[in-house]
Amino acid sequence: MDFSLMLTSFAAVFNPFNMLYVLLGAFGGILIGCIPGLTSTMGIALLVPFTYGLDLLPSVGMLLGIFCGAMYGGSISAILIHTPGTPAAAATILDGYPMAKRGEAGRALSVALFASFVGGMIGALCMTFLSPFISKMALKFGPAEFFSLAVFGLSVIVSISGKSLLKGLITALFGLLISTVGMDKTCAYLRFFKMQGLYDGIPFIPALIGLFAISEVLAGIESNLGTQKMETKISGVLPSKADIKAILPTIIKGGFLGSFIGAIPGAGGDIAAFVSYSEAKRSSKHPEKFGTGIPEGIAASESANNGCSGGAMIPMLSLGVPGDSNTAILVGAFIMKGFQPGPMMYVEHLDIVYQVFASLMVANLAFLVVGMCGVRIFSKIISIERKILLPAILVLSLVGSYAINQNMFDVFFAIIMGVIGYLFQKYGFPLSPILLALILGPMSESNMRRFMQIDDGKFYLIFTKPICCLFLLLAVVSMVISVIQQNKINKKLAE
Amino acid sequence: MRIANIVSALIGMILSMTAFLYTFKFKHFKNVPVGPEVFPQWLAIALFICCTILLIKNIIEKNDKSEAPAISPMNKDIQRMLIGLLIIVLSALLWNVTGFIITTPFSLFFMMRLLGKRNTKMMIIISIAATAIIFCAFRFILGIEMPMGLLDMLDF
Repeated sequence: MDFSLMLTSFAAVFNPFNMLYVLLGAFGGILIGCIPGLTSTMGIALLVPFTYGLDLLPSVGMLLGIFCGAMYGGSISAILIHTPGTPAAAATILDGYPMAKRGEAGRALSVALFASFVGGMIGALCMTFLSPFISKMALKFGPAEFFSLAVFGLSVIVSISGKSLLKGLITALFGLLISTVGMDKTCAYLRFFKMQGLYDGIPFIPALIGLFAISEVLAGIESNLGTQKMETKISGVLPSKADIKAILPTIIKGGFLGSFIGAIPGAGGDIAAFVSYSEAKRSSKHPEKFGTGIPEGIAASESANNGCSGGAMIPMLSLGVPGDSNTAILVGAFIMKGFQPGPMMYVEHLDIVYQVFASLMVANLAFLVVGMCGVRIFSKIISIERKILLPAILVLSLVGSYAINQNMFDVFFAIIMGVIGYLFQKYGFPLSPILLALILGPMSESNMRRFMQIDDGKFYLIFTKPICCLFLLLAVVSMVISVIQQNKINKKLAE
Repeated sequence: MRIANIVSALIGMILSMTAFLYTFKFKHFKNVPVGPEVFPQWLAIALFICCTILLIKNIIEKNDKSEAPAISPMNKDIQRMLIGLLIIVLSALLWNVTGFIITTPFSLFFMMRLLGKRNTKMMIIISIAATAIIFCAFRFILGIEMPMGLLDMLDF
């Protein structure tokens, strides 16, 4: 590692002109992230044309600002209106929204901001110092390893099922079953419905909006709390010392987990957030409080999904393999500027690599600054009268569902999922397992089938692969511990 | 809640059974160790088993006296929710006919009215302003083609 080159490259990034662009990107990213239906991918794709005239450094900085800002922005709507702005913020709902309902929206937002920042910085540091090692590890991932990772991810369902594991399993299986709708990726065969809108499977963002936002609006209309306002107290834009002390170990663990999961191509912030949440609950002294609105729950998911942004950059820069759709667009931006990400970049343009590392750190700092300025404003949203807020959430949800593919099918699909979500919630079926199933279902099926195709249908060969064995073992251990823990919690509650 | 759980379990069993039977209609591919029907079949069986457990558990366990939330159309709260749902569906349907700009202020207005707001002037202002802000943000800043309906001839 060339430290003198690293220092000069870092100095090039930390200049006011670059930082202004990164700040602009972070501001735009937070706005895009907090609107349900608009993803960081969309934000980066929208901004790429505006960076044509810029040099590589400000343009990459601005795009990274959006990437990191949107990752944090998703938590704002998750906490305030029970709708994750981005899929990666889905796990934040579990504790964020109960805190907001209790009048602690400001505290929840500041915890999310702090956790996102520290998680993002851990991701950036991992990228700086560990990228050659992690990328070698990521390269070992084949279909069998991805399948095992998906199984490990699905084991999280046990810990996010709430009081009834059986109901959690039913909703997860329902989610997995509907995730098989549409074009089968291996044989290109259309399953269940031959509708054009479902060719590519269940539209994920409209499903997310329907399950969380529209169902919440329907429940809100039914309970008719129109005149009610949710009050919120804000004591500071950053968490208190006591909160920081309580959440810091969770954040550090989440940041590293997120960086590792993010480095695996195809595994994104959504998986990382749920895995980190489950791990935080498992290792907590008071697991029964998870899901009732505690800062540790928010910290676990937010640190992991932001840690993922650094992790996702590792295979992109060192191997030229984009880890997710965001980094795929970033690869395009690099190519547009005449640089091809990949192993040769470390040989020919090491200064650029270091500048990207530094830009990611600046992007994290930028969304921290914008977020600190915005915490008070964001938390005011929840103080709006519910009879004005609910219709506004509704229209925003419908437009958000429409915006992703610009077709009406997605809007109606979101409404149907809204009704399903409303009924599920009413009868005590948790919603988060469906979301996790929709994320991991296609990943587990396609990789399992690919692996079986390669290994002539011999499933037992999966046990000859060390990474697979590790993930499958982790899945079993995590499930057993979570079941025991949940039984203890249920007994405590019964007493 | 016991009856609600039994009904939910029965619905889940019917759904899983339907999905399972439907997979037999899928095309069978040669030289593919795991065909497109296998995963849905496993999942349908697993769902059926879980729903059966829920059903049996609730039939045996008669101590659960907790009341299930009402869903009767005679209930006033449910009626209000159904009217809300109707407004949502109608506005989505009308987006393609009358367009977003014309439909949305009305749906916002009626939704606020349904939730009990009575200040008509304020409601009109909020409905129009919210529609304008959302339209401008999505159309002009994000470049998304909004459904224009009747106003399609306007070259936004």
